[in-house]
Amino acid sequence: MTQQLSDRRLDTLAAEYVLGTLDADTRVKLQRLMITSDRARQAVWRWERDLNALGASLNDVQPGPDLWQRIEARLGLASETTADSFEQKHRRPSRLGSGRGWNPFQSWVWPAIAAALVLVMVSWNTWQVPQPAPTQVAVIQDASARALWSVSLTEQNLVVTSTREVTPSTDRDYQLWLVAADGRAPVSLGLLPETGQRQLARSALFDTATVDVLAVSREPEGGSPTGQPTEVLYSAQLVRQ
Amino acid sequence: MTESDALRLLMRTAEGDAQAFRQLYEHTSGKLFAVSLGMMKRRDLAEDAVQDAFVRIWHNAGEYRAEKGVVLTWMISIVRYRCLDLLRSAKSRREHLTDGDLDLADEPEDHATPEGALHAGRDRVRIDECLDELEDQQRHAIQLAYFRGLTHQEVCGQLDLPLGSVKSWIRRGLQQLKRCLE
Repeated sequence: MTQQLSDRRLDTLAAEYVLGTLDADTRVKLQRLMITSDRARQAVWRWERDLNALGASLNDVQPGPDLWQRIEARLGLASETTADSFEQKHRRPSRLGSGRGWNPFQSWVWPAIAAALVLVMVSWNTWQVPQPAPTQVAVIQDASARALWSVSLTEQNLVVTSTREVTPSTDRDYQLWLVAADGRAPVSLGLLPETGQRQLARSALFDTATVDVLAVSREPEGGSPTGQPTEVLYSAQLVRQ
Repeated sequence: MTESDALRLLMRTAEGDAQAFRQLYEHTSGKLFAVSLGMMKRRDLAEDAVQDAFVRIWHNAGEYRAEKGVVLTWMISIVRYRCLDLLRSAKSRREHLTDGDLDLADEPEDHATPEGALHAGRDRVRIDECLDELEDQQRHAIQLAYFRGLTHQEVCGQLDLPLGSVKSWIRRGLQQLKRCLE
């Protein structure tokens, strides 16, 4: 499939893609084309808008009452929508200290040393906001081992801090992905900040799957148009503190 | 819910606001479930698809663009793609079964008059006026593919028509729809 596709042919392919009747090969080719061709993206979006008006015309059918709880649990949001959760969360004993009695050396010295190393590595300068203690950290580096982002996984979220080595760009975005060891397709964790710090939602996969690496891809502005990484640039391992 | 309310909730969802996400769910889950149920047929499978769609919406709320339609059609698009994926993987699993299993695995069509069932329980929208201009079989083929997620092959079975005609009918029907919608 090339850029020479006529408008009419591209439009018919886009329509069948949205309808769902395109064969697997053509579907994949069109998905690839959408990454690079604005014309292809616009054609698909137009059909999504037009055809899905049919779905929007259906009368509502209510799903089971527990579906929201399942979504909440999967995203780890339950704590954020329940009023008394903050207290419960902070009463939970720390993982490092549990079952072994209180040992000040075990409970804070190693995390402190690890955190100090990370601070030095990424010349962290935005630690003004009180943050929950990270449970795992990763530093994303380029080929010359310059640190670009630090990623801290906490019980509540993912805190990503960019360093001055990141060159801000107006026409593309960097996207963070979770690559699980079980071979499933990479799962988007959100767009990376190009300056300063950003908090991303903590994917429930951190609790249910074994994380192989975190990966960073370069994407058109707004993030991956296909739901999968377009061009993987870097990867980094999460290190437990 | 007005479009500006939906946009406001989606923007807050993109910022990680779980309360806004919950309100968005309350306003839209009935519609997404109706779309999903039409395709998956079973409530449990339809709920799984809606669950996956909302997980995706939470992570990708910031990727919404007005060019993709209003917030609701964008969300419907996500749940439909998820249903199509689930149907495709169920069908490819089915292809690995023996011939004997195949009959058992095939979902029976549960409506004697599919077109009647497709029209029941929904409002007419602008695209319906354009669909009305198509030949009956052409319109029916597109509706079966849209509301049920049927493949060309399955539409053939439903309408008792040769594969080649179904393919070209759907294609020509979509081209005619586009002219009408423009």
